[in-house]
Amino acid sequence: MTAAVEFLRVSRHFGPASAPVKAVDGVDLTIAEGSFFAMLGPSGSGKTTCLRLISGFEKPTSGTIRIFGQDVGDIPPNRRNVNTVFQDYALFPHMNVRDNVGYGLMVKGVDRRTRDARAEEMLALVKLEGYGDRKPAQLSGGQRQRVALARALVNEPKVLLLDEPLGALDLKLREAMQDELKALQSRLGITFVFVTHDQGEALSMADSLAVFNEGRIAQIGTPAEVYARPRTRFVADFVGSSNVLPPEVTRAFGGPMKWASLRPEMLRVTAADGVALAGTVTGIRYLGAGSRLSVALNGTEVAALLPAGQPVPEPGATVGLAFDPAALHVMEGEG
Amino acid sequence: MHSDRASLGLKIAAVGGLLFLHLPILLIFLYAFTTEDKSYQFPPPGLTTQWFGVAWNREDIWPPLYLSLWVATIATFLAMILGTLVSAAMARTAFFGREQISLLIILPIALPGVITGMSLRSAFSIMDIPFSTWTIILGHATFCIVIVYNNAVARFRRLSGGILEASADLGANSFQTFRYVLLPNLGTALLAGGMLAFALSFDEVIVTTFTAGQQSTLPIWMLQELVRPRQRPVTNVVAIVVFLATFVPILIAYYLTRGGSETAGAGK
Repeated sequence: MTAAVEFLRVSRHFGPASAPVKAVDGVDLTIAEGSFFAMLGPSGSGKTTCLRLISGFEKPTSGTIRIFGQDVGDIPPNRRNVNTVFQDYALFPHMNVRDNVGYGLMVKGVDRRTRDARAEEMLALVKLEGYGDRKPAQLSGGQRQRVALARALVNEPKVLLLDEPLGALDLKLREAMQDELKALQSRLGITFVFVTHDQGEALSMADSLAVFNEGRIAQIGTPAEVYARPRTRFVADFVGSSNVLPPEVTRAFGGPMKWASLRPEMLRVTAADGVALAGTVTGIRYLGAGSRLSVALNGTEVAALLPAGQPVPEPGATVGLAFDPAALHVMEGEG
Repeated sequence: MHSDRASLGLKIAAVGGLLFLHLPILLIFLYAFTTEDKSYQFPPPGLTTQWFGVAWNREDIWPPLYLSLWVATIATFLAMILGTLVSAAMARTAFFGREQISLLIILPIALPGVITGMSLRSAFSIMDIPFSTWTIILGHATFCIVIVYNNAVARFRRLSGGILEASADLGANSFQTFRYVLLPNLGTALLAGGMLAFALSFDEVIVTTFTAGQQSTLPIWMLQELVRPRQRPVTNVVAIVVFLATFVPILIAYYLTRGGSETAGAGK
């Protein structure tokens, strides 16, 4: 498989060379052609800067970026075959929807009839037929999002960059758009690079994902790999808020003297007598599909997911915890 | 209980204040029609429109009028180019000393006109630049730039910076981005700034006094005319012309930038 995007030791530092802010620091990355790739991380972790490095709005301080094998170091944004769906959509307020969508063709000199026809096609693709004459201000957030998508796709980019495109939508719409984006991607076969801070979104949509922390990639892999085998404490905690166990607790849980991750849903809550692990319930959070118990055990707080239908213990009660030893994931990395 | 309606006292005070400000302007209009041409007596002994004809035929009015129009046009033109460029620089990049430079640009409008006038006059004489139409234009451009700058910088701030990037992202070069995205969004602010600048320049007296040689702009001609006891209503006729030449652009500017607090610097 060809690599759509490659980062080779890419850094982007801001500020003075003596005390630089390392927004992106020595990132190596390969995004396969036709894949749905997510860049996941908290704000300020460098994921958006990475996206802007691909689109060309940022230039790397050092390192090489290749798009389909071509070094893009000297290629400005307007000459890269890459388009972006911006976080705030950035629709042109003075143009109607049709002209917004057709803009990429207009600046290439495509005549009005052809580009209007193409704009209508793109609007149909995002299910906005008949909205061509409206102004962006007359659209809802979800509709603007679709216009931004249609506008970015009209140039038939080889890579589509999406910068937290669903951030401004409400939950219901967001879930619908997640499905649509995913379907659109597999239909068009374009490489999607998706930036998000929402780990649920990244896990459910991406073919593979990179978890960013402080300008570096903490882990890269398929969602299943990253979820099941987080490489560092940061990944374990950020992706799916796992129980991150210090070495001595891991030991008590029957593992080696190392940091480990244990998913809350892998813990079974049992009666307190006759089990190796017992602790005190310190908190209960009702989640609808179950309850999340906080259990104080060996001086650490451990979260356990209790499926709905099971009796919920009182706070202060002593409960036992059991789990499949295979679920205890020992982490290799630090930090 | 708090009430949204103003009290009677406040209303009277507000109306009184507005009348105090604007009644004298109406009197200017009234005296353009008086039959008494030596002094302004109230009420006017009779009304006539003859002074419009007299003003039209007075040859000494035309050169100052042309000069004022010319100065205002060129000063506005210069201000629109320089003001737009400097506002683009201020709005789009952060650099060391940006706030200080921003203050320096606004300063000509904050400084009393006498100071600007004096400093320009001494600068021109140090540099051995003879006073001419161009020295007046330079003087006016100093404060016209501020007006254009204020309007443009406010619009730049309101524009989501993303749309310029979006344009580049979709393949537009810088000229296309300027032509299709920036200009349409900046256009009304620039036009409004230009009109305000034109209006300010057209009736400027203080800086003009310091930077003009033997020439008179229309406001200066009026000042000289008022001390002469002949055909006084002609001055009032000219005042109406000045009023229209400045008020109409300001009104248009107001409507163009409605909905944003961006006609900053409208009142020098």
